[in-house]
This record gives sequence, structure tokens and C-alpha cells, in this order.
Amino acid sequence: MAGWTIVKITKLEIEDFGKFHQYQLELSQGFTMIYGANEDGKSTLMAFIRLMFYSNQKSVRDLSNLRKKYLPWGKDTMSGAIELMTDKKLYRIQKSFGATAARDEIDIYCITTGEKLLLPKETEAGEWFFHLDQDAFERSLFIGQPGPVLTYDGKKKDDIAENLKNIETTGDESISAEDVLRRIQEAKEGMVSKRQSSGVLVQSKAREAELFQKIAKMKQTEDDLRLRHEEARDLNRSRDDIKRKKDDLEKQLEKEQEAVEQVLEAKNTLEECRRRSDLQKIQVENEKNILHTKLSMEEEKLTLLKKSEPTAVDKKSVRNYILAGILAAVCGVMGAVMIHKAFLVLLLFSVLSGVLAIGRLRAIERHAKSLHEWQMNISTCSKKILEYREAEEAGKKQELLLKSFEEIQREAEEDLIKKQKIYQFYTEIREDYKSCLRELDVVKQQIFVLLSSFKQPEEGLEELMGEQRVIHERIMEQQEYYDALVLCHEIMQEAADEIRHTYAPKLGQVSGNIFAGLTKQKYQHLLVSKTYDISVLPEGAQYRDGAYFSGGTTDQMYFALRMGILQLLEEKEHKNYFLLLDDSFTAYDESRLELALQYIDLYCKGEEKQVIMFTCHRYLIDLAVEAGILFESKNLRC
Amino acid sequence: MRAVKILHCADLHLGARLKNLGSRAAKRQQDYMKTLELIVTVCKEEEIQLLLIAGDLFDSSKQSNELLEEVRALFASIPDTYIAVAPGNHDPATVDSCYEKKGFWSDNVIIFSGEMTDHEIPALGVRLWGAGMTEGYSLKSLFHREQSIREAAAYDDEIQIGVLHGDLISAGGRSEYNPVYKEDIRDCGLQYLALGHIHKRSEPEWEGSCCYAYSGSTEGLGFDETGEKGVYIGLVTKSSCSLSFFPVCQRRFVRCEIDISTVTGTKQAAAFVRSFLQVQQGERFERHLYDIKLKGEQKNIWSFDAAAFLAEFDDVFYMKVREQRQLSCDLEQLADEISLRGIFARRMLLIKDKISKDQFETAVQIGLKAMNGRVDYSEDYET
Repeated sequence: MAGWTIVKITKLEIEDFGKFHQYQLELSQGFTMIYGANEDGKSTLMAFIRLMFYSNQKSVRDLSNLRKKYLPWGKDTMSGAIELMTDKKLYRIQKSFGATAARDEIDIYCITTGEKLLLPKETEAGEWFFHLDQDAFERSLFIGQPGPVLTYDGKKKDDIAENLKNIETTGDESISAEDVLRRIQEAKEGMVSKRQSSGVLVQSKAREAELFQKIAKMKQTEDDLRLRHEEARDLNRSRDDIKRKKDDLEKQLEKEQEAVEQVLEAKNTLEECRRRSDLQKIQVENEKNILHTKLSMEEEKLTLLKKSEPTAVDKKSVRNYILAGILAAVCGVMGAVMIHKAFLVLLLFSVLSGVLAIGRLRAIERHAKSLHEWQMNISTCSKKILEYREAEEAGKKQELLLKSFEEIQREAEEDLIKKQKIYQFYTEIREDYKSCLRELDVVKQQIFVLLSSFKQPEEGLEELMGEQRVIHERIMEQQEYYDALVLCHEIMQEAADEIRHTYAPKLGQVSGNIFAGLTKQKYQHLLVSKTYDISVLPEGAQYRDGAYFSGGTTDQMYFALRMGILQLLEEKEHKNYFLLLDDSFTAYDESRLELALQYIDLYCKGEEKQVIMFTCHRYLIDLAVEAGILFESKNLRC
Repeated sequence: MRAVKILHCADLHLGARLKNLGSRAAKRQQDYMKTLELIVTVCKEEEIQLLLIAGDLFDSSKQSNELLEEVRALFASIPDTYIAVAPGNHDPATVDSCYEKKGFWSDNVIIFSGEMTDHEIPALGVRLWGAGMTEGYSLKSLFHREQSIREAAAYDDEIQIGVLHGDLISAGGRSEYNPVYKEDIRDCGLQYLALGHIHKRSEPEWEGSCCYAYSGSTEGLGFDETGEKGVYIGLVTKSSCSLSFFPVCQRRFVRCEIDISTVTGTKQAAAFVRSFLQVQQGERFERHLYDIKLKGEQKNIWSFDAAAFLAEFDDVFYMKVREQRQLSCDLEQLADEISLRGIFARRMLLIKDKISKDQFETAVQIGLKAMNGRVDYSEDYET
């Protein structure tokens, strides 16, 4: 990084340590591979470096007492020096080791300035230079044997954690996971409360259930109503039927009644007729007798008259008188005129004749008249008698007729008696019809009352069903939102957990990058727990525990982790620290090795970096050469 | 050629209770009556000879005497117009319904009840065919006298017109509300069949030589019935049928989604919405009923105060609003962050393929919004 200073080891001087006696090793920047066979003292050198910086061997992993292990045979003290460049200054650390840490003596000089450095009490050199305790040092700059980073027992203060704490977030400290989760939870509970007794969704569902019931009930009610309407219609029809029948019956009964009355009237009339007829008969008889008497009287009279009938002589005399009269008159007049007035006396004669004639004429007339009269009377009488005879005849016929009528009447009256019975029956039926109609009317009334009592319900079926549709849609929406809330809560919880449990998420990111670079694969996010367990998050939601992978991959992961830690430290201190590797790639196959070496090559390129790798594998160096890695190779020799 | 001028309407639903409108219900009920008054006025002014009411004139069979009297009087006020009513499933001609009241309706009113029958109007040269539902359901089709119609049609030059409340379906279909089969309409002999029951108006169509249409309801009954509502007015002759739509509704139901991405606060949102509606709905937009969804994408979601928003719309008849803005974000970019948000984003991306798109987006929005504020479920907020 531009502007960062390098921290590198420039020289190792061992006076006495393990198998080393007066040993010097100069180290430069860049990638240095130090080859030494197994017993050549590689580990010793590593231990020396460690001890130089840290006396106190409270390292969890290292069970053996390093001091005892490396105390040169036959000597009580070990001593040596390291020259270190940091902050562009060269320092020299001289230390002699006693049997215990308390017996150590350390002197630090700043060669550049010539000053002597006095370490604060209880402060290790490493702590002073790197701001790391031994454990942290061993987890970062000083990569010992491959494998999981030293586990953390949770009790001791984790220096790395302390150091890296501030690098955790990108400055969104204002967002508290608790607040966010709480908001989501509250939103959830607003829809479905903890006890599921309230909430928007719960209420909607309750309303839906309520509506469901109401609708079922309403449907029942509507069915009932429909039945009632049908009944009412049927009832109306029946009623109309019966009414028709009753009306017909009424008409029939009326007719019957009329018939009866007719018969009775006929009877009366007939009786009257009889009476009159009888009366008439008697009258006729009487009249006839009277007439007969009269007739014989008249006939007698006529006989008499006939006897005194004027004869022809009488008629002749009249004629004569008239003639005489006329003659006399004529003579008289003529005489009077011609002869003498005395002839007028003849006129008297004529008058006299005239009077006589008239008298005679009158008498004849009278006679004729009387005759005529008597004749008239007689003919009248005869006519009358004829009439009476005819009347008698008619009376006889009438009698016959009357008798037959009376016969019919008798029959009719007999019929009547029969009819009375039927009439009675019909009347009863009519009464039945009437009462039936009355009952029907009562029922009809009841039905009408019932129909009107069907109060228009608060909500009609259509309304309810409309509301049900609306609620259902709303429930779908609400359920979707609720499900999303639940999902969101789950994921947010996981995210919060990740933040909580993942120690320095940035470390995971950084390590992930390194891991990707190391394996030349797609970036995979590494999750590092507080105990430095790693899980990998490949495609897919499930984190895979580090142990899932092969040993080689796991080594790569842990290597990446250490490099990640180193990187973060460097970012914090703005320094490029040296990196000590103690045969970190023993478990790697060839391809991985190549990748690892290329990685380190890249790591060193372009920046001031120092990587010192100890190895007992010759082939590593060969491989590096083949791969065109830029490095310095040294042989370890005691 | 003889022609008859008709007005076809249906589904007026007078007397509906409209509980979903809360305090506005009473005013809205008045609207329905006003609409009928308007129809009657149009009949007078346009000299309509035949007013066809294809069912659901009332919302139910039992109505208050007051309402019935109002309607009776309105009908009686246009004695020169014949009014044909075909009771529907909401106002069937049951024995206790207003349609069975003897001597109640004026002489110009013809009410059909039960199966299809015909009614001659010699003065107009029209033979009217109609059926009336006698209960709320009818699985059987009441339109089945087409043969009689055909016979009648063949011999006269009477104009044959039908009015019916039913469900127009194809053969094999089934309906509980008086199914009317298209096959039966074809060449049945009617010149025009006035239909009711479907609240959405349909354009006049021909099936054979019979023209038919649903006039649609005269007022929207809910937010699922948006748009202009009205009646059909036109001329029917023996050989032709020309109808035009005439809007009569007092108010419209309107649903809209408005993008408020550019708005910065509740009051501004109200102003924005107001001008939007003014442009979209024109003058007197405040007459109508609105269902507003506020959408949009914003980087920072400010808190929306529904009550304050609605308070700016006191002059609007009815409004309900739902806020549905989304936080805009690049999830992939966010996943790189080392933070609760970043980790959340990363983890969500990992399960993206396992869940539905909707659920994914909703969960992401909830998570991101929860960083800054509450995420309670937002419902419709209404005036």
C-alpha cells in the first residue's frame, strides 16, 4: 500500500540457541525460501525468532517448554539478536534467555538513531513492535505448521479481535440489528399477534370465517324464503281452484233453488187454474140452461109473430094506398091547376092515403122489425148456445189438460223430495268449501305475515358474498406480506447472527478474496467464527463447515485466513509486515503448491514485502524455479 | 318504414344499502334515484316511445313505500312512454313484491312475470316479449318461446322486441341466473333483445338477425365497476337497429396508480395527486370515488401520513389511498457491503431462486425499509 512502511527482519544473529552457535543469517526483502533438511534446525530458527520477540510462553498450542528444548547442550544460557527494520528505522534486539522468562535479559537499540529503547514493564518486544501478543503473532505474521489457527479458549483476551474490532463495519453503526429486527417483529405481530389472538391478518381471517357462516345461514334463510314463496304460490293456486269449484257449486245450487221455486209456483198456478176451471164449468152450465129457456121462449114468440105476419094482401093494399094517394095528388094538382081548386081536396085524399099507407107501412115495418128482432134474439141465443157448447167442449179439453198438468205436477213434487236430499248434500259441500276457503285464507294470512316478518337482513347475500370476495383478496395480500415478513425476519436474524458471531466479517471477506486468489477459483465468502472456525459459503445458502472439505482445501482456507488477518493488521497499522512461513504447504498437492507459490509471488510483487519461508522440501524450490517465481533461496546450515 | 324509439337500461339497484361506503351511503343512494329521474327526463325530452328496464330495477323485492311511491310517480309522469319491466334476480316478482301489487302501477307500465309472454302495443306497431324472474335464482332458461316469437314475427310487420334479465352463455354452459343461450337468440325473430344482469355494458352485437346488448348498470356499485355508466338510446325497425350510448351516472368509480417518485413529502404528494386527477378526470373531479395507489421508487422513503394526505381531499366525495412505494437499490452492489444491510442483501440474493419473484421483492423491501423505519402492513386508508 502506498505510504506504508515495511517491517522486515534484516538479520538473525544467534550466539547460542539449540544447535546454532554463532550463526548469522541475513534476510532481504521479497520472497526468500530457506531450505534445510529436517534436522537442520528450521524449527529451531523459528523458535528463536519467536522467543526473541516473546519470552512468555503462554501459547496454548506449544505444550513443551521451548526453552528447555533449545537450551544448548551443555550451556545455561541462550542468546542472540535480531535486527528489525520498522518505521524506516533499524532496530537491534539483543536477548539472552534464562531458564525462565524472568531470567531473560533484553536490550533494544535503535541503530538508526543510536537510542536505546526501554520497554515498558511487562511488555514483550513483539508487543511493542507489532502491537500483538504472542498468540496474535502466531496467528498472523508467524505461520507455523499448517492447520487451523490456534483455537481460542474464549477466556483470554483475543488480541487480534481487539485489533480488528474497528475494522468490522463500513460505518453503519447507526443501524442497530436489534432495532431492525424489532421493527420487523412488530410488523409481524401487528398482523399476527404472539398468541394469534389479534392482528390484521388474524382479524381478516376471523371476518372471513364469520362471513362464511353468515353466508351459509343467509343461504339457508333464502332457501326457506324461497320455499315460503313457493308455498304461497301453490296456496294461491289451490285457493283459486277451490274458489272456482265453490262458485260452480253456488251456481248449481242457485239453479236448483230456481227449479224448486218454479215447481212451487207451478203448483200454485195449477191450483188456481183448477179453481177457475171448475168455476167456469158451473157458470157455463148455468148460462146454458138459462139460454135454453130463453131460446124456447123466443121460439114461441117467433111462432106467434109468424102468425101475425103481414100478408101479401096487406102489402098490396099499401101499394094501393100509395098509388091512390099519388093519383089523387096528381089529379088534385092537375085538377087544381087545370080545372078547379076544388080538386085540391083530392090532395087531402092523397094525404089521407099517404097517412094510411104510412100507417100500414109502419105497422109492417114494426112487425118486420119485431120479427127481425126476435130472429136476431134467437140467432143470438143459438149462437150463444153454440158458444156455450164450444165452451163446454173447450172446458172438457181444458179439464184433460189440467189433469195431465196436475199429473206432471205431482211427479215434479215427488222429484222435489228427491232433489231436496241432493240439495242438502250440495249445501253441505258448499259449507265445506267455505270453511276450507276460510282455512286457506288463514294460512295465506300466516304466510304473508311470515313473509313480511322476513326482515330485510342487515346484509343481503350478494353484499355478503361481495364482501367475502374482497376480504379473500385482502387476506391473500396480507398473507403474502406476512410470509414476506417472516422470511425477512429469518434472513435478517441470520444476518444479525452472522454479524454477531462472525468475528470481523471483513476478515471473512478479505480471507475469501485471498482464498479465491489462492485457489484461482470464484470468490467464496469465508465465515470466521470467534473460535476461528471457518465455514465456507459456496453457491447455495448452506455454509459448509471447513471440515467438510479435503485437508488440502482446509489448509488453503486457513492459510487464507492467516493472510487475511495479516492483511487487516497491515491495514490498521499501515505497515507491511514480514511473513514467516514454516513449511506451510506440506499437505499440498502439486497444483495447489504451484498456486500457493504463485500467490506469494504475486503477494510480494509491486510492494515492499518480506516473506520468509522455511522448508525441508527441495522440490518446492525446484517448483518455484520452474514456475518462474521470483525468490531468493538460502540453505540452512548450522 | 316504421321505427320505434327505445331507451334500454338495467341494473339500477334502487334502494341498495351500500354499506361499503360508510357515511357516504346515504348520498350515494340519492344518486341512484337521481339517475332514474334523469332517465325519465331523457324519455320526455327525447320522446322515447318504449323504455325497457331489463331487471334489477330495485336492489331487492322489498322496498320502502316511500321509494316505491317515488318510482311509481316517476313512471306515471311519462304517460306517453311505454315502460316494460322484466324483474331480475335482485327484485324478483314474488307474491309479496311490489310488482304483484294490483292497481299500483300506472297504465303505461308493463310488468313481466314468470315465463316468457308477449304483449302487443298496437299504437307503436310493436310486440313486446318478456319474462320476469320470480325468485332469486333460475337454473332454467326463461327464454324458450323463441318458436312463438318466430311465428309471430313471420306474419306481421310488427317490430318484435324482447326484454330479459339473464346470463348470456354458449351451449353447454350453465348459470343460476336465467341462462340465455346464444344459439336460441339466433334468428329467434326478435329485432332487438334488451338484456340486463351484467353490470359491464356490452356493445350491440348480432346473433343472426337479432341485435342484443347489455346496457350495463346505470351507476357503478363498487370499485370493480369503473368507467362511464349509462343507457342505450336508439331506433329499432323491422330490419335494423341503431343504438348509441348515453351516459347518465352521477358519479364514477375511479382506480388509479400514481407514481410519486419525484415527490418529497405528504403534502406535496397530495398536491401532486390533485393536479393529476384534475388532468385525468377533468372538471369537477371531486364528484367521483377514488381508489388511489401511490407507487414509485425512491432512494429514501419518507414517512407517508395517510390521514394528513386524505385531509387534503375533504372536497372529494370518497377517496381511499394506499401507499406502495419501493426503495430503489442495487442489491448486488449492496451485497458487497460489510454491514447488516449488506449481509442481508447477500443472503437474500442467495435464496432468490428458491422463492417467488414477488415474495423476494417484498422481503427485500421490508428488510431495507426496516433499516430506517417501521414496516407495518399498510392498508387502504379512507376518507
